[in-house]
Formats: sequence, C-alpha cells, structure tokens
Amino acid sequence: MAKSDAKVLAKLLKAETKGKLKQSPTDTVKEAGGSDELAAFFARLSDDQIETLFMTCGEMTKMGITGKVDDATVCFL
Amino acid sequence: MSDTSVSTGESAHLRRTLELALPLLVVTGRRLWEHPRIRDLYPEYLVATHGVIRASVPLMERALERAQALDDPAAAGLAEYLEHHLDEERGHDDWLLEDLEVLGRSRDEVLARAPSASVAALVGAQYYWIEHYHPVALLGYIGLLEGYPPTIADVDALMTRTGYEREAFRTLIRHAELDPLHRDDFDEMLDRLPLSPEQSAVIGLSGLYSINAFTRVIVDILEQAA
Repeated sequence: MAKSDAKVLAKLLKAETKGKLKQSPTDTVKEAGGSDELAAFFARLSDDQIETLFMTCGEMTKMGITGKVDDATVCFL
Repeated sequence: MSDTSVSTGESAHLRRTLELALPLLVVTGRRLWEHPRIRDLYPEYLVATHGVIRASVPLMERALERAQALDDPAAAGLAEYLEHHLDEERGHDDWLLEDLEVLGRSRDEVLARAPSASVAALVGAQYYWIEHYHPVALLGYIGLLEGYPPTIADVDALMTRTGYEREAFRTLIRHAELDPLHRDDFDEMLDRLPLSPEQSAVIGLSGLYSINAFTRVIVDILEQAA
C-alpha cells in the first residue's frame, strides 16, 4: 500500500464515509486522494465486510486504540 | 459490488483486509501479555484458548464433510486442503491441557468449566457459516488464527513476566515454530482456489468477524483482573 494511503485510510474509516464506500468505493477513495490500488482494494470488499470493518474501528475508538501497529504479531494461537 | 479488473491474489487481499482491523486484536493482546497480573491471567488465557482450539479439528472435520458433499470447484479445493491440514492440527488441545497441568490446573478441572459466551461466539459463527452457507468461510478464521503467531521472542518475554517454567509454554512455542509454515501453505492454497466473488467475500467477513470475536475473548480475561 502506498505510504500516502495510510492518511487516506484515516479519512475513509469514519462513520460518515461508510455509506459512500459501499455505494461507490472507487470514487470515494479517489476523492479522498487514495491510490488506484487502494480504490481497487475497497471495490473488492463486500458491504458486510465494510460493516464489520467499521464495527472494528468503533471498538478501537472505544478502547482508545489508534494508529497503525507496526509489528503485526498477534499474541495468541 | 465487485471489481473484476483487480488482479491482486486472494491471499494478499485477505491479509490486507485483516490487517486493517488487526490493531484491535494486537493491542488488546499486548495489554494482556503486558498486564501487571499476567501471572494470574496466563492460566485463564490458556483455558480460554483451549476452549477455542478444542473446536479446531471438529470444525475442520465438519467443513470437510460439507465440502465433499458440494459440487463446486472451490469446495473441491477446500476439501483437498483440509484433508491434509486436519492432521497438522490434531492434538493441539491436548498440548494446552498439558501446559495447564504444569500450572497446577488438572484436565478434569479445565474440561469441567463451561466455555464462555465469547468463546462460543467466536467458534459458533464458523459452525453457522459452514452449515448454512459454505464451508469455505472457515478459511477466514484459519487465515487469522494461523496467520499471526507469536514469535519465540514474544514467548520468552512472556515467560519472564509470568515467572512460570518453560514447560508451561509448549503450545505457544510450537505454534511460534509451526504457524509460519502453515501460513505459507495456506496462502498458496488460497491463491489457487477458484473462488466466486461471494465465496471470497465470506472468507474476508469470517476473518474480520473473528478479529472482533477473539478480541472479546481477551477482553473478558482482562476484565477478570479489573
């Protein structure tokens, strides 16, 4: 993913963008300044995946988890 | 909603999808492993993990049965993978019981405890998708659980923080060693699988759901210490 896409993701993963991402993912990502690659990625997500992704973002906000985790190691099996 | 012009491999797409949501689980997991009372919480973590892992082989067996009964190319590929992978996962629940015995928790005590609602929600969703939609959904769950194992350094640090002997960490050590290999096999298989857009979507959905549900399992353990 392009480095600039990290900032675009922060813009996209906001509650007010969810409906637009479902309806016209490519245009929404491009309008936010995202790369073609990011637009293609979102275009491949189903509505249910977008819903679940936003649910996760909501949980992260509630738990005070922000930003990207550099080390993706997960401490479970 | 699909873009057929996208040529990114299925495994890369799944990893990218999961990694958008993964900070929730990663940070929650770290909060547990770095918790001041981790010595008390580690056995509870193993008990909860046992509740999850005891269902791995039965889930795969059921998914295999369903896949063999279906007549589509993805189901055939899934069945071929599960026939091989089932044996790799067999007995891992026993490893956890052995680790717990080192910590003074008997098998009978562990097996007598009812698994929590959050464990049932994590595993139970997979049964639903397998039974009522398509067994290929299980690949989102497997891709998550085997895709991001702890490193040996992580386990060593946990050993130090808990003060428990190495024998209580055999499950984690074995997974740290084996899961990177299983992940490579999984990704290769997923890239070969002739998935429909709907099958691809349910795999991603299953993985994303599992991130949320597994986080809930860990939050339950953290709340015991609150």
